[in-house]
Amino acid sequence: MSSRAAGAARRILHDVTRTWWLLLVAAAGGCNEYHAGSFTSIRDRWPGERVALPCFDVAVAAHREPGVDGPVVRYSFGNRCEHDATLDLAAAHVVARDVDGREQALDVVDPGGELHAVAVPARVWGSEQLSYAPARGAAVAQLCVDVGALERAGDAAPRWLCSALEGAR
Amino acid sequence: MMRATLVIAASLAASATAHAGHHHCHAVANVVGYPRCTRFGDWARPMSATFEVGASSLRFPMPSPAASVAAVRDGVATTYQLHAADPVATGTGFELRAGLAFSRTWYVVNQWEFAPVTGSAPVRVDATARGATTTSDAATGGFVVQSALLVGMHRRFGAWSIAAEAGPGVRDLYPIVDGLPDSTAIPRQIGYVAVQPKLDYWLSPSLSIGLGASLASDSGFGAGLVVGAHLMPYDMSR
Repeated sequence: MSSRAAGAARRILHDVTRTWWLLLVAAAGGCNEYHAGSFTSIRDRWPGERVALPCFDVAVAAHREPGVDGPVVRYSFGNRCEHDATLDLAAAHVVARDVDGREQALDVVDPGGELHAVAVPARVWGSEQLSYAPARGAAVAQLCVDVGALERAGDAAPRWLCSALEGAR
Repeated sequence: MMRATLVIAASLAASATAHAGHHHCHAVANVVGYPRCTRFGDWARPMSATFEVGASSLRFPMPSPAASVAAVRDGVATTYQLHAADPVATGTGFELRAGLAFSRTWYVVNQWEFAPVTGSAPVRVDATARGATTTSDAATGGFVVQSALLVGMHRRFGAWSIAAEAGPGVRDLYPIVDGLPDSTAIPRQIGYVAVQPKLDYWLSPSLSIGLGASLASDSGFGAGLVVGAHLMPYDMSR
């Protein structure tokens, strides 16, 4: 092999192996996988109330979002099982509780028909924010979400998570 | 071809990076039903990058370094006639793989193997100078670089995954013939099509160890043992 070719091969090898090792170390750390019971992802620590379903760890946080009419619920979830599990966010029941303690069921806002059940691969995490139709009457103080039916294979027994509505008006 | 595969490798890395990035878009709020930069369920869309390093052992056809070469040696015009004794060589070196899974089943991978040629037989050399011919054996060696672009399909069974890969490759041989002028060793480039089964064991959702074997259309054979890092758990495979 000529010395020029050998030099070029060495440089390529050096650059490629350095990149490979960096990525190998990053991925080997499991940065992008969901760790069971952690309620965290590489992005953040999940806000709100938490519950462990048969396969999914779920956190629910209610808040108001600028530019959005009704209350918004952030669903954070991770599949801690070693197989696919089906998640259906549209199956959540949401109830608004006003300052007087009255309750009112809220419908999810999905004008584009985007919501659908999703087969979440093993150890994959995600989050979505869904908005709900504004409650009528008094100001909403608290939002309660029944997440029992989110997991298709679960027993669908009610699992209510309630949190104060941040920025309530 | 070698440059093309380098570009493909870079593209694979760029795709993996781009997957995590965002396009320029205007979002009112990152809420379903409002203009936003992502789609519902993006987190479950299969797209994963894999990076593997390891060792590989190769056995491949070794063409004669050169059939006939004229060179001036010690001020004397000499013609070298080379005859390969055994057209098969071996080499053991290291292997790099960069893959991109674009569905739960299918992926593409760019595989590179680098190895010094260690097992090639000496060549018989007829050196003719001033009308006289002398015959001798010269040791051969050199370096081999293989690059292949493979399409693969994989399936996970608990902690194990099985895969089958196939695609075109190119083998660059840089032979060295001891004791002869450099011009007697001409680099060769040989194209082939490879088929390779692979077995992976998942040490964790992001880390695997894999054993693969490769059969090339030109009778080449290879076996590799690699450690793989996966940006998405289990490559989001089924």
